[in-house]
Order: sequence, then C-alpha cells, then structure tokens
Amino acid sequence: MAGAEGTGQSVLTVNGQPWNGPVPITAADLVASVCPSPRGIAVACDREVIPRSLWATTVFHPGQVIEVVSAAAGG
Amino acid sequence: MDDARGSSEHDVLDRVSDPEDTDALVIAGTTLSSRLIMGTGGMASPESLRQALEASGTSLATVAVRRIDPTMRHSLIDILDELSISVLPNTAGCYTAAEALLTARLAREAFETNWVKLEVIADDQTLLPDSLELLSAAEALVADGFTVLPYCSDDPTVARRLAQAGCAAVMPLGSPIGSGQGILNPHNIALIAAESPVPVILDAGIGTASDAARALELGCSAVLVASAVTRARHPGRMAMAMRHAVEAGRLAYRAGRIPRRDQAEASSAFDGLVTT
Repeated sequence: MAGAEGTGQSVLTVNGQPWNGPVPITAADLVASVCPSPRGIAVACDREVIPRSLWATTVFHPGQVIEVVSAAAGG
Repeated sequence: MDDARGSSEHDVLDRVSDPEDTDALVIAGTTLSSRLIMGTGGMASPESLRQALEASGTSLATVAVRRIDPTMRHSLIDILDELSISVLPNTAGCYTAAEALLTARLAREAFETNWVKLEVIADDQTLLPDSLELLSAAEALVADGFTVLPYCSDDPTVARRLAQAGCAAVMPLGSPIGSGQGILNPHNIALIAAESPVPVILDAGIGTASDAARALELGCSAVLVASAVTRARHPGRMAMAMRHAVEAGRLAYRAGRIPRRDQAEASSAFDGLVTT
C-alpha cells in the first residue's frame, strides 16, 4: 500500500490507491474523472454510501477512503 | 380431431392447461416471467453472455458489485437493459454482515433496486454460507427496506428463520457454488420447499439441465444457474436446455408424479390377452 507509509493520513484513497488528482474534489468530479458514464455507479466515503443527489455538494478531503463501484459479472 | 402432426407444442399445451391459470412466479409482489434466474459470472465474452441470456429466456440476472474498472468497454448493465432483464445485485465475496450491508447499499444506489441476493460466505474454499452472519445481515437489510433473497445452506431450520426474518425468498444451495454436483440433499430441499411461506429458489451446484428440472420437481419455485451455463462448452445451448428443464420440472411438479413402487405394475390390461 503506497499511501500507508507515513503519509496515509494526508492522502485521499480511491479504490485502494492514493488519489493523484486534485484535492479536495467533489464526488461528482471524482466520478466524472474515473467513470465513462455515471450510470450504474455508486460511491461510498469511509464506508457510508453517498446518495447520487449529494454528489455535486459532497467534497472529499485527504485522509478519507473512497470506493467507486459498478456492476461486474457475477453469480 | 386435429392432425397431431400439424399441432404446435403450444396448441398441445393449451389443451392441457387452463388459460386462466398462468402459474406465475411472484416474489415480493413482482411477477417474474421465467423461473430461471441467471448468473452472469464466468462467461468468456460479453457477446456469449448476451447470447446465453437471450437463450435462457430469463427476466432476472445477478450482478456483482466491484470497484470500477476504467478499462471496461462493455457495460453489463447496458446488456441487461437491452434484453429487458432486471438486475439482481449480489453481495458475493462478503464474509461479514457489515460487508454485505455496505455492498447491498452501494448496489441499491448504483442500480436503483431494493432487491439483493444476499451472500455471506464462511470461507473461500467451500464458499458455504455463514448462517449466523447471514441471518444478522438479512434482519438488518429487511429493516432497511430491502427485498432480501438470501443464499443459504440446505438446512430447513435456517431457511425457516430467514423467512421469519422477512426475506422475500430463500435460496438454498444444491451443492457448493460452481461444483456442478447437483442436489446433494434432495430430502432437505423438498422439506424446505414444502414448508416455506416464501418462494424457494435453488441456488448453486446445478451442473446440467436434469439438476434444474429436479429442483422444480422437488417443489422449488425457481432456480439460479450461473457456472453450469457460463462455463459450459456451448453456453447458449446450455442456457436453452436450462430454460426447457425449468419448464419441464415445473410442469411435472404440477402434474404430480406417480409414487415409487418396489414392484412392477403393468400398464397394459391383461383382459383379452391372446394366449396359446
């Protein structure tokens, strides 16, 4: 884990990786930069789901852990 | 008399079935047009998945929730949308109730559905359900407004507890996920089906069409098939076989099978027998 060595507190983590883009960043801007389309996407910050209606106004800061998920093939 | 050779399969079905009796599968107030639920994992390509889904005639297919892969060109959701197949998100890969809850809530947000196939597995060797975590997750998700379809063991008591917790269906395993061993404990599956107040969907272990037919014959309301189709040499053909198997199994269940006997019982009358 690159972000966990001493600097873990100051890095925004996105899907397990340190975020190299600008911070702070809104959920909407983050989704736009990692997903081809916002359809079928969900976002969680520190294990809490951020409703789509709040993406534009929710700002992520260093130290937070973000998950951006979509559908994958599965049983 | 109609010329039998000119009758289609459906003409014959019309004569043996009541047109008012649609025998629809209803889960949580939603009518499903097919008793075959499809998994989408394990397919070689999006195109073969599309063909298999189409051949299966399914109206509901599972998807997993995973971190986004920016390189993915084909959206699974788009394929399901084009085929008018509803999405049943699963919590595959979750080992605890807490993980399953977060995954289910992400799925609800991503796919705009309250339905979830709840999976909480005990370990990655057997992939068997952890019944205690499962029940705890089911209770929390029901309280949070989800329509919960839990993948569970073939233990009638666990199935009963899940139904009592408010699950919309129960999904007992036939045998371990992906094992293709069929239904290892048909007695338990029949017991679960006989007493369940909610639909029973046989999940996991189906290897070929006869396994699916048997699940319906034992009284299950539906089956979920994934690996048996996606890893078959010809997935489209196997999907169609499963479709027919599920229909045949359901018809046989409703027709009422003959009891098993220890001795033969002639079906031809002995009266008028030509003897020497």
